[in-house]
Amino acid sequence: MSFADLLNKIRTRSISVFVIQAGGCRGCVDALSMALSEQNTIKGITLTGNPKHADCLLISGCINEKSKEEIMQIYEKIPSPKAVVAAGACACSGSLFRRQGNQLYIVEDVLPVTSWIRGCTPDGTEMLETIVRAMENVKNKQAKGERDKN
Amino acid sequence: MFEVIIWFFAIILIVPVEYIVENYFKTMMRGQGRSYILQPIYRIIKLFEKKDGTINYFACFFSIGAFVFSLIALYMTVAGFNFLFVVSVLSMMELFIIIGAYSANTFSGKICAQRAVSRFVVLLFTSMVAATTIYKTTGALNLGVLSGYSKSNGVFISLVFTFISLFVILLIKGNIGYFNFGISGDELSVLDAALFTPYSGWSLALVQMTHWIEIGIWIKILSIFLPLNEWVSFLVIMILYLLFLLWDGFVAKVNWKQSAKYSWIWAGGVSLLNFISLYVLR
Repeated sequence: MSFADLLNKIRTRSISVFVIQAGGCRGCVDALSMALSEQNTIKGITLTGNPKHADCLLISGCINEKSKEEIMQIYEKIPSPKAVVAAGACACSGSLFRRQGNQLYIVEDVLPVTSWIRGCTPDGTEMLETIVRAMENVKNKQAKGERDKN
Repeated sequence: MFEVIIWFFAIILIVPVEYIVENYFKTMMRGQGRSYILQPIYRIIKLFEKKDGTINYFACFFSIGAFVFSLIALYMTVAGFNFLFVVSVLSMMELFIIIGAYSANTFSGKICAQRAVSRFVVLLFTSMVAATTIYKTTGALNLGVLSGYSKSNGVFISLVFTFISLFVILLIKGNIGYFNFGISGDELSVLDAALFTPYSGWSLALVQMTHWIEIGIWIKILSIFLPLNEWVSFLVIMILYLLFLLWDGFVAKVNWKQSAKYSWIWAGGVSLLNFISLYVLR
C-alpha cells in the first residue's frame, strides 16, 4: 500500500454528511439517523449542520423551484473533494410525485450525482455503505484526474 | 525550563488523546454514533487536504492568528504567568476566531459570531470575578505561585465556587451539554438555518487544533486548584472532563439562548457566590 492509498483510506474514515430533506415523507432521513446510532459495521460517518465542514451532500425528496437555488448554494459552499448522494425514490426518479411540468426536479437535474440509493424507504446500512463508496469514488476520480493532468 | 517544555508538548498531545478515549467509550455504548477510535486525528488529516472553491484570505489570516495566540497562552500557562495575562491572550485568540467568522459577511456567519460574542462575555465576566476572588484569598495571581499555595494551604476549600465556575467555562468551551452554544456546527441541518463560518479545509483544521490547545489550557488552570501533584491534578481534571464529554452524549441539545442563560447562572452566578462570601459576608 502506497502512502497516497493510506491517506485516502484515512480520509474515508471521517466523513461529515450534510443532509437536505428537500421534500417527501422524511423516511430516508429517519432511516439514516437510525442507521447511524445502530451497532453496524460501517463507522466514521457523522452529520454536520455546516456545509463548510461537510464532505458529502445527501439529498432526499423531490426538489422544487424554491429549494433548487438553496441546494445549489449549499453545494457551492462545500469544499472539494465532495460527493453528492441522492437518497430514496423521490430524489432518484421523482417517484409518484414526478409529472411533466409540475416544477419538481430530481437531484440529477440540479447537481452532479456521485451515487444513488434506490428504494422507498432505502435500507439504513445501505445508505451508510453508499456514502463511504461515494467518497472513495470521488477520491479515486480526483487522483485519476491529477495523474492525467501530469 | 525543561519541565515547561515537557508540559507544553504534553498538553498539545494529551487533549486529542482525551477525545480519542471519548470516542473509544462512545463506540461501545448503545445508541451512540459509530466512529473510529482515531477519528479526531483522521478528521484533522482530512481537513488539511480539503480545498475551498472560494478562498477567504481573512479566514486564513484569523485562523493562523488564533493558533499563534493559543500557543502563546499555552506557554504562559505552563510557565506560571499571571492568570489575567493568560485570560487576555485567550481573549485575543477568541476575538480572532470571532472576527474571522464575521468576515464571511453572511447572515449565518454573523449569527455564529453573535453567539460566540455572547459566550465570550460570560467567559470574561467569570474570569474577572474569579481573578478578584483568587487575589483576595491568596494575594497572588501568578499561576506558578498559586500552584504552590494550593499544595501547602488548600486554597481549593475557600475557592470552591470559583473552581466550579471555571470548570463551567471549560464545559462552555468544550460545547458540552446545556452549555453548547451551537457554534461548532454539529446541529442537525435545516435547509435555511445551517450555520457556517468561512473556516474550512486547513483553516478549519487550525481552528480545531486551537480549540484543543484552549481546552488543555483551561484543564491546566483548573488543575492548579487541587492540592495534589501537578500531573495527578491534571489527570483528575481530565477524567472529570471526560465524564462530562460522555454525559454530553445523553443529554438533549438546548436552544443557544437557553445555553447562554445556563452559562450565566453556572459560570457568572456561581463565581459571584465566592465573591460575595469573601467580600461581603466576611
